[in-house]
Amino acid sequence: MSTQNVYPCQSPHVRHRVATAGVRFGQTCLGSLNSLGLVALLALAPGTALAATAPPLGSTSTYGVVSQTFTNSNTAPQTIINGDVCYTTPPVTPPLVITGATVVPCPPATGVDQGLALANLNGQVCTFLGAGAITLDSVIIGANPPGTIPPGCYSSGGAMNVTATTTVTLSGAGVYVFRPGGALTTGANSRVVLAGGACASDVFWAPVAATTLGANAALSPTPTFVGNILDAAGVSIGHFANLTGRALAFGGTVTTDAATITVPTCAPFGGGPLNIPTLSEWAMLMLAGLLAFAGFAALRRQER
Amino acid sequence: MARFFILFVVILALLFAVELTPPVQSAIVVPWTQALVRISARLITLFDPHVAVFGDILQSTANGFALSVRAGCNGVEATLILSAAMLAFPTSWKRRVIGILAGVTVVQLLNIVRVISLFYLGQWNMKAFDWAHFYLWPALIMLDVLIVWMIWIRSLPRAPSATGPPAGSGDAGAQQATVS
Repeated sequence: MSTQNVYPCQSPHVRHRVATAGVRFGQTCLGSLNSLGLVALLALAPGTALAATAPPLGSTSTYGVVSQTFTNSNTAPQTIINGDVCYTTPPVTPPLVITGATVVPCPPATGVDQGLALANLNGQVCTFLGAGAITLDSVIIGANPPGTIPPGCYSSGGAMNVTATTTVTLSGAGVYVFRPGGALTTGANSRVVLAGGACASDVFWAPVAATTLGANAALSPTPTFVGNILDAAGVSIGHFANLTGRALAFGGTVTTDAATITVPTCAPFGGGPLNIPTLSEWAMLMLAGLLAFAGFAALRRQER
Repeated sequence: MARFFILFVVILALLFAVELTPPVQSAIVVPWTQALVRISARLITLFDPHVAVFGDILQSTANGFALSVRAGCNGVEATLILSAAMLAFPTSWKRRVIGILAGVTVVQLLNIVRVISLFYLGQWNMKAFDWAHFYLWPALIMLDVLIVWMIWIRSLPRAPSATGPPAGSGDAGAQQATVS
């Protein structure tokens, strides 16, 4: 197993104000420094990941599963989905529990919103982890231990994998975006967990190829994987896997096997986009008063 | 003058009530709001490619900063207040229509400038964004409406007497400016 070291060149104090030029510099220097191994220089500039933002999920936000074909295996205990489910082709044996609505077929709006969210994710500037396949459990970001990943946007040229029986920790409040250039695959009994105020609502996985979450030996009461998976190439959730997030595969297949899927309820980081009312209620009243006053004055002048 | 005031209040209440009805919201307000976001994005892309539109959200693809332009952010309320005042003021329908069209255009153009400026201010400095959002832009929008209103009033022909033809009968109706 190889270890990928990532040393972003951006200072922590500017990570939320990423200028385009800085990003290009960051990407360039990431690749070159990584290959040259300029450890001394990196020690002077402990980096952070490039900032990421949460895209609006729109009508998909209430769904645990969005799919063209939903396949479910019923090895006991059966699948439980805490959220809405939609599909065109139903599972032969439905999950034991679906706490939300079951919608057939998926509303077109879910496809539109999934596409918009994906476009948003693909439009973000990411820290490039490497040209080939990446094992997330061995990635080092800044001063963090291997497999502990701070908020940010991360991309790779190839697949992103999590080695069997290892744990990847997403640590810190903020938004996490993962964009594998290939598949997203987690090994058996592996975990992707949250720490330090991270919220599953703020984790987004947007692989180019299919997603496969590995099976677990035992039923886990806590999540074995977290985040919103946006993957039209298909999402396969292994035996006993416990996903706190969403499997959004509009036009694709979602496969579950005695899995638990729970739509996250934690408050998203940053509270979403800013609302900008033109005039407050008081300003509107004042404006109406000013117009009335000016109108009175004009009429009075005309009377004289 | 009392007639102007009563008409102004009644028309204003009527316009706001109509604006809040679901059919008007879905047919006019929401489409206009989303069009406003798209227009703002189009203008921004002339000099900055790092912008994306998601429904009513304008987002920077460079750093993720996002604005949500919703009902209340679209300048419609300001134009309704101006329109109510123009409809209540005793003059001809032709002058009212011209005034409302000009007023709506000017307010909406300034609102686009407001949205674009806030989009960049928010990316630069949140203190500057808050100050502009809460104080500067409301004042500028109010000033804008007031200037349009004053120019419109001054452009109306002065009534020679209180016994002119009734309002609403063409340009001659403008002479009925002394109704109290």
